[in-house]
Amino acid sequence: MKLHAIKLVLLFAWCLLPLSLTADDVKVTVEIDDVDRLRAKTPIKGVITILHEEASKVDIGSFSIDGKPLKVEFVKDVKLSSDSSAILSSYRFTLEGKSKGIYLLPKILVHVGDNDFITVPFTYTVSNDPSAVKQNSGNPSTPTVGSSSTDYLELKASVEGSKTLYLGQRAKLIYVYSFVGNIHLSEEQLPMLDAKGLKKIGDTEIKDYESNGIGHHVVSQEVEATTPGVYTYGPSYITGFSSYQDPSGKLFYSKKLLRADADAMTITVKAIPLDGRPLSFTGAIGSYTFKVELASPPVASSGEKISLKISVAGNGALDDLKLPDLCCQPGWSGVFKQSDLPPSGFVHGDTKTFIVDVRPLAPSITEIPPIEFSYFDPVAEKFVTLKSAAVPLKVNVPKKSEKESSPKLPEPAIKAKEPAPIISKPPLIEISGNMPLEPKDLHNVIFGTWWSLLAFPIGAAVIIFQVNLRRYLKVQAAKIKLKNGDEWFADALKETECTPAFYHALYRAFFYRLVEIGAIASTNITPEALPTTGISGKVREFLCSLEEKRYAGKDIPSKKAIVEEARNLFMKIGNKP
Amino acid sequence: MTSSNFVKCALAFVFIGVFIIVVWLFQAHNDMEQLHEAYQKYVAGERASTIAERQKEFNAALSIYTQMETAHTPTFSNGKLYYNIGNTYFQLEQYPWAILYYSKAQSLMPRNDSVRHNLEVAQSKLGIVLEKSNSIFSNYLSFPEKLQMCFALALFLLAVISLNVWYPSRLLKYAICIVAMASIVLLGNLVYSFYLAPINGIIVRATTLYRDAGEQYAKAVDKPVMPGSKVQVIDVLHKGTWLKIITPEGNLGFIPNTSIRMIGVS
Repeated sequence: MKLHAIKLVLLFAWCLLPLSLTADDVKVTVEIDDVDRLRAKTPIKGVITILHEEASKVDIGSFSIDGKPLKVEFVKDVKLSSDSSAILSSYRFTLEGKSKGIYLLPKILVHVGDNDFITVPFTYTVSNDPSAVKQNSGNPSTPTVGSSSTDYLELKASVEGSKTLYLGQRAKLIYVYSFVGNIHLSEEQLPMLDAKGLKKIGDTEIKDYESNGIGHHVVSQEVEATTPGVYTYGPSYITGFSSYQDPSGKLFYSKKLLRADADAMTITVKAIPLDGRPLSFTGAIGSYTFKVELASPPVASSGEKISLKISVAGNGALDDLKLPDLCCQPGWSGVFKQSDLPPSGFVHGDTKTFIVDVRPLAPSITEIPPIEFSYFDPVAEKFVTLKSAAVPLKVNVPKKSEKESSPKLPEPAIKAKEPAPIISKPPLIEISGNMPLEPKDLHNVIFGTWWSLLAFPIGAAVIIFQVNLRRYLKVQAAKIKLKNGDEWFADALKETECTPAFYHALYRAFFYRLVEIGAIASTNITPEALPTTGISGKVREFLCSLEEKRYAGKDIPSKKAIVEEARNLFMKIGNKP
Repeated sequence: MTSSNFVKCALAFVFIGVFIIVVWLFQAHNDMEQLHEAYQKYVAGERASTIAERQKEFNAALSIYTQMETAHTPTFSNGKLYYNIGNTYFQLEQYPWAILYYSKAQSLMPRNDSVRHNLEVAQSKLGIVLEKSNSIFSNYLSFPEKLQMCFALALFLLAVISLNVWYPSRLLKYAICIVAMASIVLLGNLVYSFYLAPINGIIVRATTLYRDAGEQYAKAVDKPVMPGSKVQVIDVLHKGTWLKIITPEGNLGFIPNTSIRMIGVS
C-alpha cells in the first residue's frame, strides 16, 4: 500500500515535469522592424524569437497568424550557454504593406516540441510621413534594430523675446536639440548658456518632450541686460554617436559621428535713453497697464488711514518693479501723508499689486489724485506715461470720538518733533582714580634699565683690577726687604756682639755699597771674589782678614775695633754715584 | 699743566655741570606743571555734571598725558603714567585702549591692585575674561625691578668677591657661589623675558583674522578678532605691516599692524 502511494506520487510528478518545462523554458516573442517608422504600402518585416530546449524542436511549418499559415524563414539558433540546453531560435517573417492607420498584429502560433505557443498581440501604426510614428501601448517599447540612416540630430539656438534689450530687460536664451534614435553626446559647445556680458537669472531650465516621433531636449537660460553692448554667442554645436541594441540586449555604437550646428546669436543691449525720461519712471521696461482703486471705504475722516490698491500688469520684469514716489506727484504733497516705508508689492501672474496706505490730511479732499506711472517701451523705443483715473473720496472732519479713538496725527502743517532729551548725566565712575604724578614718574627708574647690567662687566673689571693690585702689592712687599748698604751697615751696628748676623750684615753692607757705586755687579759674591784693585781691593783685604781671624779663632778684634775700621772703610767707599 | 689752566678746566666743568642742572630743573618744573594740569583736568572730568563737559576734560587730560608719554617714553618707569592714561581712556569709553595701557601699567606695577582692578573692569566692559599669568616672576616683579635686582646682586657680588680677594675665606667663597647662582638665575629670567617670552599685544580695533598676510586672502575664522583681546605675536611680515598672531582661542592668523598695539617688555 505504501509502495503504491509512492508510485502514484512519482507518476504525478513525472506528468507535471514536462508541463513545467514547457511553461518555463519556451518563450515566443515577436518584433516588427522599425515599428515606429512604418510606411504605408511598405512590407512589414519582423522577427519571431523562440527560447526553447534543444530537445523541443520548432515546427517551422506550424507558424500561423490569425489562423492563417505564416511563412517564416529560419535565421539562426543561438545556444545561450555551454552549460544549458536552451536555444534561442530566430525566424523572419514578412507581412503585406498596409495603408496609413493603426493596426493590431494578431497572435502568432507556433508548435514547439509537443505544444503550441502564441505571441501577445500588439498594435502598430503605419503612416505616410517618413518621420517616426508614436509607438502604441500593448507591447513594451522594444529596442529598434536601427541603422545609421535613420539617425537624426539637430540643434537650434533662439532667443525668446527681443534680441535687442534695454538695461534691465530680460530674455530667455534657448537651445533645442532634436533627435531620433538613441544618441550619446560626445561634445556640447553652447556659448549662449554662459551668457557672458549678461546677468543670469535663475538656473538653467531643461525640458524634454517628444513630438511626432522626434525627441526634443530644450535647454534655456533667462538673462537680464546689465551692461550696454553687442554680445555674440556662437556658433554652437553638439556631436554624438547613435547606438542600438540587438535582440540579446547588447549595445552597439555607430561609427559615424553625428554633428549638429546652430548659427551664432547676437544680442544688443542698449541703455535706456536719458532724454525725455519722465520723473515718474522707476525703471520699468516693457508694456504695462496701470490701475488704481480704493481698497478701503470711499469715506474717511481726516487723518484716518485709507488703502489704495495699485495694480501694474505687463510683460516686463515685475519682481523688481517699483512704484513712483507718490509724495512728489501733483496733488499729493501736503494733502496726503504716506508711510515712510515704500510698499513692496506682490506678483501674481503678470500683475504686480501694491497696497499703499495713505492718510488724507484735510476735509477739503474730494478725490485721490491721478497717479502717474511711466515705463519704457523697447519695441517703440520710447517712454510711455500712464495716469490713473482720479478716485472719488469723501473726507469728513474727525469727530471727538474719532479723535479719541484714532491715533493722534499732526496738523497739515506738520510741526517738527521735539528733540529727544539728551541724557546729560554721566554714569557713575567704576574705576580707581588717577595717581598724582611727579617728574620722576616720567623717567625710567634708577638702575631699572639695561644700563644697570653694565655692573657685571664693570664689577668683573674691578675684581680683576683688585686681583692684579694685590699681586703687585705682594711683589712690592717682597721688594721692600731689599736694603741698601747703609741700612745693612746700620743693621750690623745694631748687633751687640760679633754674631754671625753681625758679620753677615757687615758683609752685606760692603757688597751693597760696592754695587751702589758700580764697583761690582751683584751682591751675590764672596769676599775672595772681590776685585783686588781699587776700593774693592781694600774691602776684599778687610773682609778676608776678618774671615781669617774669625775662622782661625784667634786675634779676633773687638766689635768696636771692627766697627771703627769698617766705618772708615765704608766712608772711603763713598756715596752712590 | 699749569695751575691756571687747571683752574680754567675746573671752572669749565663746573659751569657745564651747573648748566645741565639748571636745564634739568627747568625741565622738571615744566613737567611738574603739565602733570599737575593733567591731574586737575582728570579730576574735573570726574566731577563733571554733563557728558559733554566730562569728555572735554578727559580729552584735555589725555592730550597732556600722551604728550608726556611721547616726550619721555617711560618704558622702564614705575608705570604710573600708563595707569593714568588707561584711566583716561576708560573714562572716555575707549576700552580697548584702556586695556592696552592698563596692561602696560601692569607689566610695570604687577603688584598694584588698582591696576589689576581697573583692567578687570575694562575687560568686563568688552566681555573679555581675565587670563592668569603662568610665571611667578611676572606676577611679582616688573622688568625694571628685575634689572634693579640684577644691579644690586652685581654690587653685592662685587663686594663679596673683593673681600675674598683681600681676605680669602671659605665662608666668603660660599657666599660668592650663592650670590653668583642667584645672579645667573635672575639674568636667565631677564634673557627669557626679553628674548624668549611671547610678545603680547592688545587688539585696539576689531579686525579679520586672515589666512595669510594680505586682505586678498580668505579669513582664518569667521569671527573677527575683538578689540581688547590680548594676542600673542609670533612673527612680523612685510616690514611690520602685517603680524602673525595667536588669538586667545588658539587660532593662528594674520592681522594688519593698525589693529594692534604691543604691550611692551614683560
